[in-house]
Amino acid sequence: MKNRKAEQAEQHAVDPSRRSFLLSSAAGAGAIVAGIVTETKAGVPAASIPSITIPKEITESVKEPAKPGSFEGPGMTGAEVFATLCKEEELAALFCCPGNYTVINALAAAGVPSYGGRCEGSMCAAADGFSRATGEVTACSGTEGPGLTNMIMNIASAAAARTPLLVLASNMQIAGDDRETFIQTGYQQPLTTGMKKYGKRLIAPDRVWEYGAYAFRNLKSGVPSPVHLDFPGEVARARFNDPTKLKDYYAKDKYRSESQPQPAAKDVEKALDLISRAERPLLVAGQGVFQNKAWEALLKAAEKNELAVVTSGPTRGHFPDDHRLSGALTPDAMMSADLVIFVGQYCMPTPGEYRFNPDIKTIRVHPVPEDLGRNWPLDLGIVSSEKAFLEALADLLPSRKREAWVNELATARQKYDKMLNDQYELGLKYSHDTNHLHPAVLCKEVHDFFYKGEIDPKQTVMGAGGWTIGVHAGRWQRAYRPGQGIVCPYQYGAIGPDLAMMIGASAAVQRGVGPQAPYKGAPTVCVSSDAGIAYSLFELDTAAKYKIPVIGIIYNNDSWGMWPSAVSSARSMHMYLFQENLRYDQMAQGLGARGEYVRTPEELREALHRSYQAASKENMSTLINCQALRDFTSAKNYPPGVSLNPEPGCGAVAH
Amino acid sequence: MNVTKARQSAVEVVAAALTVYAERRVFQGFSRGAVAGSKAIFRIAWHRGRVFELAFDTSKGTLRLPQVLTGVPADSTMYQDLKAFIKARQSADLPGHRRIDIRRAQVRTYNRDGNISLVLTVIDGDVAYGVQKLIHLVHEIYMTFLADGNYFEYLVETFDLDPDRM
Repeated sequence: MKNRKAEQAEQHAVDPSRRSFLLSSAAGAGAIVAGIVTETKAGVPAASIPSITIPKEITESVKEPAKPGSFEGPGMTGAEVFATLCKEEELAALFCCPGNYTVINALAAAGVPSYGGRCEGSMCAAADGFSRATGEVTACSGTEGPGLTNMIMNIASAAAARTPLLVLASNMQIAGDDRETFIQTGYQQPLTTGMKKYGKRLIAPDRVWEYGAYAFRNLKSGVPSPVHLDFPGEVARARFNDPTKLKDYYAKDKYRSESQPQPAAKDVEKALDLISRAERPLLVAGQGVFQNKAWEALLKAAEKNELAVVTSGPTRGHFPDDHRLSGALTPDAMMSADLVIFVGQYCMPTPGEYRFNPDIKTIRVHPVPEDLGRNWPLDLGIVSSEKAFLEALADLLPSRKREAWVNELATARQKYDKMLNDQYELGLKYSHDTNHLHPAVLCKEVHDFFYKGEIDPKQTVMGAGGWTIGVHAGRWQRAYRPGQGIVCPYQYGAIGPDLAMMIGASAAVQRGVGPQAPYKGAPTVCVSSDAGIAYSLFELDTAAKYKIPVIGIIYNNDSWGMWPSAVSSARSMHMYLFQENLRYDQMAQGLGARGEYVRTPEELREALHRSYQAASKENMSTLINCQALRDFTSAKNYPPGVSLNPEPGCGAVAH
Repeated sequence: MNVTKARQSAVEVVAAALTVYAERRVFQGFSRGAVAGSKAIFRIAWHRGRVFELAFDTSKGTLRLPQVLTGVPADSTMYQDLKAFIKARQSADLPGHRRIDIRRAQVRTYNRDGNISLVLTVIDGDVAYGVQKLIHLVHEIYMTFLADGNYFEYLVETFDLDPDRM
């Protein structure tokens, strides 16, 4: 009998398959690969342990053509009616776990790109990530009580990000209401109060189309936010063999409008006057600019009148970080701006939260009037779609040079670059002294690999989260085109959805949706923490089965980042710490992804290279376990420790 | 204009300037205190939820803000860094709109038992300028100096903050 290694080598020689790629990549320093254990502890040959495989049922099922419901024959179920509406509304993707079976099956059959994962919460984050990368409406789904309650953290996160997320869940039967019939009954709508724009428990089967229309009116109008529909069995499984059986069964151009609010001429005139009187105007381009695909008008307006621009929100890149007018990397210049123009700033800060000077004048442009003046007193409030306002500015602003302001931005950029590089040099010293990766070093290496090397710097979509590592990663994350940067913890600060969110974003890149079209199929990157990865690590199985290539980079400091909070409380520290040297790379390997373990900048560089090759050539995901020290978080022994990033700008996570 | 009227007028200038910041929500709260002799007090609810008491002395032309920061020993690196930061705000290297013009106003720092006070003296009689520069300076101390330096743990401990919510 041939030994296992000889068998594998033969197979590798004749069949450059996914599995043989795993073998070839094992040659890399520190690489850990699934299925290469030759012997178990008990001495039983490992050949008896089958390799991880993707069953043909998965690949065949994914390739099945769409088969939408029809009124012919047995007719359409309520779920199929709803799915038809979702398809007509171009619902971009569904992320779910089994449960709410009738609805998810109908959506998949209707041709909505669908993904099934391991945990409803993570699937909700993936749907959010897909939307953050594209601006499109996505859906997540789970079963009654358990599935929906598992999603709650990430629904709230999507609400903070103003994501147009359709939250779906089944909900037993109306006939069982108030009887605690069997299991899983839940009163769902109260659970999502405060984290949705609209919600409805559907109780009249013949109104399923009507309420689908409610959902998309809310998802595609004004300021979006999650919409939550729950489907009792009587609705999902109702049968309709004639459109006349449905209430308000109109086409989408009848039940909602694409009309956008235009800015009033007098308001534009006032805005032009304020801009003309400003010496150092700054435009804050929020999520609304991205979701309304207004980046071309933004660029035109900014360049015409030399307005500085800083983006805000859960997605970055709708103004390029490397533009001479970008304020993304110029925190010191933010304090000089004398006029701020908020456009599409959906989550509004209060004045002390942004690093602006106390005398700054303010214009705010928002698609609905209710929010104007909330939190931040205005000199001028304008109701308008983001795109319409920016197009008006681009048309009506005079050409103007603001040399002093542009120079000040350049000086501030140099100062910030120097600060980052000083931190890197210090981190490098700490890394060499301790043989553990400092977060500044980790993030600079990742930055250099994806933005300064052979890869098109505009290509790779990157998302980052976590505490210590999230702060550093934000400083080094760049976005040079729309949808390139995802701010995973944006506003809600959830620890954990990062990897799942980036798997969703990666699915969007894989399909080349919206601004991701030029980079279709490219790998994506997620930088996160050991605390965070615990929440969504299992979705590496999901990434593997759909061949979605994500490179996960985990800063492993054996602790929750907030461990310094326990220093003065003797009986608390154990609650903040994990076992040391946990092997997330090995866990990833066990889920069908690649694993890499690194402790030095050189090892990280090599691991990034191997991981990128595997992702771009084989659609394989990798988790790189970067072993760090928890003490790097504290300034006591390793200054500067942690300090939050300036808002707004690169690395900002709030508003 | 007699001396009393001139003093009243200066107090009104300070009050008006501070009121604008309150209306812009730079301050979370603002009130005028008593005027006693040449001194007027203004209470400002501002950074980190603290209430600052700004004292304006019309006879000396000074704006005094006690306890701008607390718990900063005079011999600490942090205090040296703060003094350097304040000095840099008066540097010719800064653009004019960011600089405190030393021909128009001078800033001094005092540290008593770790409590840091700032005193801005108006030189050219332009009290509104002095108020604006003092407000900007304190704002930058909180928004830039404390945020960018090695003071995360100082912030958490001094202001009893939840480190998740800075």
